[in-house]
Amino acid sequence: MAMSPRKRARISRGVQYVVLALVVVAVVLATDWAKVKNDFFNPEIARAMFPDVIIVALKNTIIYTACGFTFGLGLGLVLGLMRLSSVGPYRWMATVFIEFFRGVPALVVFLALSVGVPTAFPGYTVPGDVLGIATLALGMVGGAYMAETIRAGIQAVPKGQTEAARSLGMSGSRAMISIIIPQAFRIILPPLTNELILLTKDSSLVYLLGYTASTVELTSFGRQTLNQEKNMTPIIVISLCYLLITVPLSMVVRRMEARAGRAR
Amino acid sequence: MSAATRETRTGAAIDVIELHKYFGDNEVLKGIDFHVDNGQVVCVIGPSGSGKSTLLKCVNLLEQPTSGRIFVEGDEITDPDVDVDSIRSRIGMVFQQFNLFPHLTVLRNLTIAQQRVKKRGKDEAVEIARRNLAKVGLSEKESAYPAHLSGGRGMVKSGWVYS
Repeated sequence: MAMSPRKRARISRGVQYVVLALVVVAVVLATDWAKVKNDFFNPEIARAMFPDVIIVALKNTIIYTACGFTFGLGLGLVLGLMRLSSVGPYRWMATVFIEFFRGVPALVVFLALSVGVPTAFPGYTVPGDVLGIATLALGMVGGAYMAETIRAGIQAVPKGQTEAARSLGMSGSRAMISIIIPQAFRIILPPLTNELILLTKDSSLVYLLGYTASTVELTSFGRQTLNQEKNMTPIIVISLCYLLITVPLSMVVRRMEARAGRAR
Repeated sequence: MSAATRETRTGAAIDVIELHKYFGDNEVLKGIDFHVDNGQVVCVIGPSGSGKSTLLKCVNLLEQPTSGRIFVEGDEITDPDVDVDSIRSRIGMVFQQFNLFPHLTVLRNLTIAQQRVKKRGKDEAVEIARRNLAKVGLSEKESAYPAHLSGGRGMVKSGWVYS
């Protein structure tokens, strides 16, 4: 006897719920919860990480990321405008820079600045210590990515906007600064947020530079505790700390987007 | 008379002499010759694609004419040495799509060129803008964004941007 399509769909959905419930029950029963709690969510180990994990490690991660992103945004804007320049050599230089730093792992850039520079040029180190290297490395890698995003954003602003600005008597650069770039940044807010989140995570590469009690960032801090305690709890704690940065960031940007959307 | 020798008519607001414009091999404007007196209203009518917009864009050099000369109130905008921006700031242009600045409020749309191009102070620019908004009955819209204006209001407003 043929079933009606609606009835068949309902049965299929019911089967899917039953399978899900069985899997959940199996996992719950098969897991040694006491061991999981001790290995992953050990309250003593977690408590011992505070307050340093916040006031030192999280703070440093935020500082490295903020400095790298700020430098990268400026660099990306310059490179993006160079890519659009009518002067050939500017375009070529920007393209080479972008292709190089987009193509090379961030880890290699950190290595080059921290180990490469002092080895190749004895007596010279990147100024600013850990923060200097982190800013430069994250900025150059992030800047290369953001340059292409910014270029695309500028090109996405309708041509009529430039014409309107020029017809009012604005110079080309004035139109770019007052009319085109502000609109471009509204368009590229989502990919720029992505880049900021990526840089937050890339700041973990600072572990390569070694650390002191005052320069330690989240990943190094977690690794240090992991080695001492032989326990996964520190990893969980620092993971939550990263989410503490990225999730509120996403929410703020979503609100900014909604506001910009209303003005469009 | 040839383009090279004919002098601009005195008192003409716009004077166009032997204007040619090519896009590649496609000749869009084939030697346009016309002038508009002060206070005169002129309609340019033609089928779409016949070059009306191109002609208007040439007058304030948003399109570079292939050849010919264009005078605006006696100043030649096609002269390579002329300050194009200062001539443009005296020409009002309402675009088909209005091209209001969507990221700025209505009031800021009206003041930005006054401040950045004509170098008026903020207070003066705002006062002029508010006066013009009042004339067209849009005073209460000054802090709205262009997206919130109806089509007709947008057009009225983009017209006043240039005053």
